[in-house]
Amino acid sequence: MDKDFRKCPITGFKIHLPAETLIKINGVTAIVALLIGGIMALLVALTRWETIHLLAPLDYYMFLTLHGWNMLGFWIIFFEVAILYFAGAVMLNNRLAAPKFGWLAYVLMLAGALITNITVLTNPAKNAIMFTSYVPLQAAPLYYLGVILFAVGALVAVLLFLATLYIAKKEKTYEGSLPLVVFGALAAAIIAVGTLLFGAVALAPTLLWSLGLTPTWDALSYRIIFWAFGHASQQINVTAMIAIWYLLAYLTVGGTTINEKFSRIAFVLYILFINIASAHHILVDPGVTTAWKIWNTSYAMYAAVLASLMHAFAVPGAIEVALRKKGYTRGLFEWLWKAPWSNPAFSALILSILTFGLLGGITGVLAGTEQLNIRVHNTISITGHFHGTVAAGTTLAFMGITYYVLPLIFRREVVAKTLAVYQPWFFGIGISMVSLGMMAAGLYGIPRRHADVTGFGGAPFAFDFDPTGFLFISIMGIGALLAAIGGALYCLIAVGTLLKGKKL
Amino acid sequence: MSEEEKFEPRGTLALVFIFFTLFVLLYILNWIWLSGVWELS
Repeated sequence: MDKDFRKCPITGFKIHLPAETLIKINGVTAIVALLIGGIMALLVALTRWETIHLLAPLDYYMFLTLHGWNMLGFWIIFFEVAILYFAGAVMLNNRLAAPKFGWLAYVLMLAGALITNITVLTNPAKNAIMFTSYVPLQAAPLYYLGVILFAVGALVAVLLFLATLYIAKKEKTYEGSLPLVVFGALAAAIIAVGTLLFGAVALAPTLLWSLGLTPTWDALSYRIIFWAFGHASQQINVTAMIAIWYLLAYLTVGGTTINEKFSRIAFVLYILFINIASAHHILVDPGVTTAWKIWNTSYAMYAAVLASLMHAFAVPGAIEVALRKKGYTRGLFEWLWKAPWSNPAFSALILSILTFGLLGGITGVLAGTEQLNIRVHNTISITGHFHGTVAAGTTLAFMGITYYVLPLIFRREVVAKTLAVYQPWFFGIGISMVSLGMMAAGLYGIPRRHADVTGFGGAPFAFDFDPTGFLFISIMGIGALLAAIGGALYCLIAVGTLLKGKKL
Repeated sequence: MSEEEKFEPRGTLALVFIFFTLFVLLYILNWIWLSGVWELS
């Protein structure tokens, strides 16, 4: 075997060593971002929890801005880059097309993440403008530069993945169609290319404007273009998460989808329809027509939701068939009771499916429709929705796959196995309480992105919300504590395994 | 039950049916809640 490769004794994969190093470095950086974003999450939640109300407004907005970037951006995208390299190189017994570009992507992304964090932390009064960075709010040029560098780095990584797939095809490292998991990663990559380009189109003029090189940047244009990036970036996460569901179904119980075409069609539906579902962000903006708004918040969204429903049947179906083949055929649910619940990767997978489907997915359909969105937009209900999809669904899936990446790629035995069994449950139950608490509180009108909704900082237009809303905010707060324990356990187990895990 | 039927994902189909029913109920409840009908009574 070539000196650049090793053979995995467990899976039999031929592993390209430069790809393996890049998977490791992106994975570790993702976990560091999760740790930073998680600490900020706790501070933000303890501020929104009215009984505690921890931070002063400026600190709240600073940590909320960075919580958004570190979680929605840096944790998930560094991890996704690792997934893309794993899917393109490892799963296809292939070499990474150009590892140097992998390092270029990493350096750009890391520089971007550091610059964004440092600019906000050092001058929050100027730069704590939140994840949306709405024009005409103006941050220092370095803030936009950080975000753009990160996005460009991520784009380089995605293009490197596509080049790696081309090489695999050309050098015939696999037979037949692309494996389903790689196909899912490809769907995520296709969505990512468009998304990141929109990010550049939204933020590059914003950078020029903040540098004073252009006199103005139209707020309406910014919002429309930003949301082709802002919401679509979360659709990359959804698609990557589903690809990981199929991978985890295979790794945990040996499950493969009952009908490959069915699952592949669902991924194609994502590519075609999922991005325009972000139209609900611009429902009251005059820049797009009513017909466009109605089409995109109904029919286009239903087509994307159909894809999620197809996956929601295919993945558990794959698990059930695999377990039935192991002999658990009694009644309707013997396979479910006898499933390997003590494997944290399996429990993380099931919790990811449940939280994404029942909390994030259903509320996405409800809150994404034009009529209901008008009612809940800018309430904390929406924050509850995406804490069901991304914070619960995607994060749990990525936590689950980590329990396989540690022994297979880092070649270390996972430490603290008993704690690992409980880790997904702490995080899953906690984040579900966060999501549900926020969604219910939002229905009582409690707004999102506010440091003080009881006194509004002493403003004369204070408003008395129904106290029931604050009961749900307390549920969110308790959930945040549980989720923080689960997140901390995950970081401890991952870092502990890297430092102290037995070498395999 | 035939050997082939033993390995069909019947449990998943049942779960999908249960969750779909819950979804429809949730949709109706949410709609009623948001419409303010409860507050009128």
